Amino acid sequence: MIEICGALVFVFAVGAALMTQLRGAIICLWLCSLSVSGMFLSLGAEYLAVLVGLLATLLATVFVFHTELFGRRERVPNWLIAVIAFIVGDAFVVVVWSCVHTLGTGFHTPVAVQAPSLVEIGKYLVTEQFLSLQIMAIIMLTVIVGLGVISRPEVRKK
Amino acid sequence: MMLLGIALGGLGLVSILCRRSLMGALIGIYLSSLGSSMLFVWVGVTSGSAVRGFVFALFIFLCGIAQVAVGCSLALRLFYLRQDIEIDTLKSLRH
Repeated sequence: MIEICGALVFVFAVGAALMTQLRGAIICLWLCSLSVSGMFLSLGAEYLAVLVGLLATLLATVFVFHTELFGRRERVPNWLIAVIAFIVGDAFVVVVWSCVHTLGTGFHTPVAVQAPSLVEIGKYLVTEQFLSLQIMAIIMLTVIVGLGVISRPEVRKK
Repeated sequence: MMLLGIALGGLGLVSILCRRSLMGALIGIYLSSLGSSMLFVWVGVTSGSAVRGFVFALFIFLCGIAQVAVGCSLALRLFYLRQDIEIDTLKSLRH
């Protein structure tokens, strides 16, 4: 299950990153998110799977609305910029992968691990990560207020 | 799966650098946040402290969604003022 979802994630992610037709890219992004959601489900992270699935659907709807509003196609990028972007992306993958390898061999197969329940996650969130939770709440509040301010209609002076 | 998460981050970076419209860059940002949250879930599950991995993945994913939401409203504002959502047009908002 994880392997199939992983292959789907990669294929749809490539489509989302490289398609010039924005609507197709958004559909690829949505399918990629659903595949990630399937991976989370098979790893025991049910609440994350539900969250990713719901938010991806909501985001895809918003993106499609915006794309229809702004125009469906985008201009093909300059080939030099595209080559540089691919080099930077590959370098990013190589650097992070080499850093992850230095973590050692302390990882084991996920089958042996008992998936935590929602109660455990909630207790951990409230007891150990309470400051992070509060900071996250402040960030979300700022984002909601900022969204209202940025996307307000222009007030024209008479 | 670790490599897949990192590859998603790399593809997001490619999308951010390569695309010329703000919506394409937002797609890249979302891909990156998805990849990093996947990486944290996998590391948490395989290292024996799944709860930590899940919580960090939740925080990262919510931050990514917040970024995308702000980017969408910025694109809406840009289109309202300049009838264009190219990234280069953002500079013109200073004037």
